[in-house]
Amino acid sequence: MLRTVLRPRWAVLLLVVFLAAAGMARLGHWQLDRAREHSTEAQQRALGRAPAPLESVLRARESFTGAAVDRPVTAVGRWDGSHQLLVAAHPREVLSGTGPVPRGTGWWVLTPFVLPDGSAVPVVRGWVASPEDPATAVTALAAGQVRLQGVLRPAEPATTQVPGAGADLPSGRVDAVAVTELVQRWPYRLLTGYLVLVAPSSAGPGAQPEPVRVRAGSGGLAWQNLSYAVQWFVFAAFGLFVWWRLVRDDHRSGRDGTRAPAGGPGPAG
Amino acid sequence: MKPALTRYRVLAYLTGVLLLLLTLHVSVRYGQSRADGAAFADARGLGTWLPGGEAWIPIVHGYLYMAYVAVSVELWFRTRLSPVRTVGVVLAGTVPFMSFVAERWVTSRVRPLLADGAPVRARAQGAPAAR
Repeated sequence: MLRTVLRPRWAVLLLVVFLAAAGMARLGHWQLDRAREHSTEAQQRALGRAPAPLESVLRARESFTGAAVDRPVTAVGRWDGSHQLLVAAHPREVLSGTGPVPRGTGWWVLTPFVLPDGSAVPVVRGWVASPEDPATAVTALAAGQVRLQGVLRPAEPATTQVPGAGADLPSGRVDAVAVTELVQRWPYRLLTGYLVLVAPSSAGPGAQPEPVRVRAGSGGLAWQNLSYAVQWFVFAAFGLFVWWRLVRDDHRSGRDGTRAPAGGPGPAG
Repeated sequence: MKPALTRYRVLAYLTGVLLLLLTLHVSVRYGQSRADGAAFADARGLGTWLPGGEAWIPIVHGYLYMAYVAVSVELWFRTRLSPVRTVGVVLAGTVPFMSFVAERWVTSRVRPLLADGAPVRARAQGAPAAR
């Protein structure tokens, strides 16, 4: 077998197949890069959509659909400052998509926003460095009916499975925007996601927390480019397989006293 | 041998049809982006009428073409039609309408081999060369 492999024709063909396979593997990597870029572009487009009324996207207790992720929405309602919470270890900037919010230093100011139908949506009003920051004061909330714009995000998973765990946090503090935990603290039917505030039409008096920015993340990979990447890798492997079949046939026919005709296929694809 | 030919023919037709769909899809997207002034990436092409078409047409075409290449080469292993022409057959799958032409050519070449009872490969190769 080795002697067959070492025949100049097959050695040269192997070199050609290797070069072709290397080229195809590069094309596969290029498609993987494109898959990442496309996915980021798609998320930028998702964030750039015109805001829709919140009630047309998600209502209380409805399950959170993929179309609702990062949907810019407008909502009309009133703040309930008496139930405001601070969410520990959350960053000033989050990536779009369904990935978990990474831990960060600082706090999110989370206030229930009561909608006209009596349900409520948790709203991340902003970020503060310290829980003593004056911007957390509920006196900074606009009174009466408010119209606000935000980006809809899926609720975070509860960080603790055990009831009462996390009780080491002082009252008024939680460590995730977990709707399953919030329903026990707030006297409202809740939406299954939360809003990151983009623009309140009327802020109240006093300092406001710094806005939390939702940035287009890399999210997943675009399926079409991912498929093309897989196909390029398969083609690369296929070229090697074809070479091996040719050599094997040549070897076998050599043993039979016959020889297959010359000629390489050129790598397929 | 016969199943290999059938596999090839089925995939030649499927790849051909999907390639036509894909060509149409891309042309429509181009037209849409010209008409609305929207970005090409936002134009949904045939997805406007076929549910999810903008996602599945390119993906399905890609995998079908992969299978088309595999069955073309398998048929070549079995028949030893000319390697250069096999490359042509494989490439024909990337040109709209050409996979139908290639299918006619391949079928016309392979059918006579089927009709004959003799071992296909030996005859396709011609007389065995002396070592």
